[in-house]
Amino acid sequence: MNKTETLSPEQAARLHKDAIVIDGLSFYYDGPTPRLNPELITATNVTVAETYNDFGAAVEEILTVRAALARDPGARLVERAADIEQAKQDGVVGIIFGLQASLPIGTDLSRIGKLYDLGVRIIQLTYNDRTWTGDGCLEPVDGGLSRFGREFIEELARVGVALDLSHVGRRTSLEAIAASPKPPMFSHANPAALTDNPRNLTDEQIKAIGERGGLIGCCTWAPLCYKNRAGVQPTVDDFLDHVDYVVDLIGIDHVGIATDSACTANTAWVAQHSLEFNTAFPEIASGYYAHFSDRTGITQPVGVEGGIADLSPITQGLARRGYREEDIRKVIGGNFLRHLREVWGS
Amino acid sequence: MSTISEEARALHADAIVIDGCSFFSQGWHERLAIAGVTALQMTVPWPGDDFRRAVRRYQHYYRLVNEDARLGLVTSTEDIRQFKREGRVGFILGSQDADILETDPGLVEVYHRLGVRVIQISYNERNLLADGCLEPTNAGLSRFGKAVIREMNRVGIQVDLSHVGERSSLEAMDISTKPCIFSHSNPKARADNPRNITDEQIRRCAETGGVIGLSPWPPICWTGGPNPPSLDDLIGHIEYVVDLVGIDHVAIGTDSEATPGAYPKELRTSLGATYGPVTGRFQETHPGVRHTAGFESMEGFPNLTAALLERGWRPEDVRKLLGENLLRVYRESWGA
Repeated sequence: MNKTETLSPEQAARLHKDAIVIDGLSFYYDGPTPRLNPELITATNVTVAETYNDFGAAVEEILTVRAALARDPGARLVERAADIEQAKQDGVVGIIFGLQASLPIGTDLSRIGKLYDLGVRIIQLTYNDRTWTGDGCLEPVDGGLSRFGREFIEELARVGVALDLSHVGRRTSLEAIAASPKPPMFSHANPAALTDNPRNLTDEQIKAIGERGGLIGCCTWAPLCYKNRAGVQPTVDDFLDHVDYVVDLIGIDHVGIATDSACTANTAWVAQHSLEFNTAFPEIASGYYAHFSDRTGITQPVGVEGGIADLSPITQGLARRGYREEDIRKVIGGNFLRHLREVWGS
Repeated sequence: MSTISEEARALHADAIVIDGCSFFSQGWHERLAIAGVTALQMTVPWPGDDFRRAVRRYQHYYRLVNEDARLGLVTSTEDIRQFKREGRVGFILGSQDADILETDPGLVEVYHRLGVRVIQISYNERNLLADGCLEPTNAGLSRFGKAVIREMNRVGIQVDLSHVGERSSLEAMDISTKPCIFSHSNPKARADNPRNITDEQIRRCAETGGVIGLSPWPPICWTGGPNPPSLDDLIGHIEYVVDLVGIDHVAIGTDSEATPGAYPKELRTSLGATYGPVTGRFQETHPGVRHTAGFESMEGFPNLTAALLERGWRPEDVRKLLGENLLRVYRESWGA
């Protein structure tokens, strides 16, 4: 990579406003929100149902999100890759419907098409625990991809839903990468070499996704990028070290960014969610929160405290590190756009 | 079948006879009398049923016992002895899958309170608890699976490991504090089929104090030769397990309908589609063979009793096989 021409802060600021910026994972969208500013964010993969929902509950949640979207002049549903470019042109934020669990599908593959009809375009194979498809990243067994899991992945590809392997067990994810007809992604995960966490990725996983032409959304969520320094809130530079690491390992074309932060400004809702998550899955969050009195508050690195509300410090940081303009565009959204266009087929 | 001796008839009539695996009753049928069964463990939910669907299917059995005094619901081993004295037939409510638990170990106690006493932790394929016997991954138990087994032990539901993947079944027997059963499985050493179980599984099951329910269902009873399966093959399976782990660890699971013809066609079709590795080779070799000669359905139970006595089995050992062993295990698992 050519790192000779360093962009000035002003150039980087202009670049961020001009570029397509995609957040690979956010949640809790509930209508108009000051946190989604079309000058700072173009589109985001929003988790539109709770991970433990069954099909009926997930459909209800999705319909609630659709209703919220209908009364939001600043946001729009993304059903094709071109919708993201159009959203940028029109000055609105594109909302991509994603699920972080296959539980709503249960053992009925026809539900993938039904969820597609409701707008869902990204589905994650498992969420920490085992499902019918495979094992989550907290399962000590990690039994690999099940027979049903293989059919599930085939159906995602046939329907045109992107396969997300975040939160998936390591063996299961490697088998899914090998089995998938289309390149999968880790929408929000980091190299475990820098921050050792069951949610993060081994070099083997990173290389496998690179060789398959997939994508890794490096994640600003603090427990995944704090480099295991107990009691220390990471900075945007700590986060960028994770980006550099993946770029060095598999190249500039397979890296994106993700915040795992909330779209809503309803902080009570978000705090409740954090508390429930951190209680349910201490293996992921407790190392980071062990030395903070508030187990819900500090979720993003110093410099990008707002998460999805303002990702321009990441663009600034990449510029400081000497990334070229076209490479910055790839990392902050271009790669996600290319990837989604490829796996959605439009 | 050869005539049944008076001695065999009398023993069978006096013994507690439990079919460790049956399904689809539409109410009283003379088959139950011909079989001489005291109680049957019934598979009630269909594969993939969630809580709501499962509860509806269990309701059907409440209705059957409410409407016919010849039938009863078993919730303790004392119920089984009581039904024997009264000449009634008891239904033990079971499930051959654990999807009915959805994602909540707390539902184990709910099912127990509904009268469910046996749950098989997976069915051929992977579920949230364990791998089924057709999964090439042969994974062990999930975190949820372990939580469910602990809960089954606590509230008193029998852990059934038929149809479960080998490694998952071994791990289940490692963590269960109560005896485990294979309600309807045969020794793989004699009948090589993914549904059958290894000597290690048989030994571990016996070590938990449990039982293996040998089964006349043709695809898993067939020993692989040119002849279709027969009662002699089933007896061979029984005696193989007796030789391996002793007379206290065998039972019978017929895997047959409690009412002839009640098995829903739509379910047979949907299950058949995924069943190639279990039934394929048998059906190719023996097209049209639906029954094990001499033990065509649970109605073959008395033939078994007669044949074992003829082979010199002691009456008390026949009684153990027919029901006393399962009764002992249920009592320990149910705590009643």
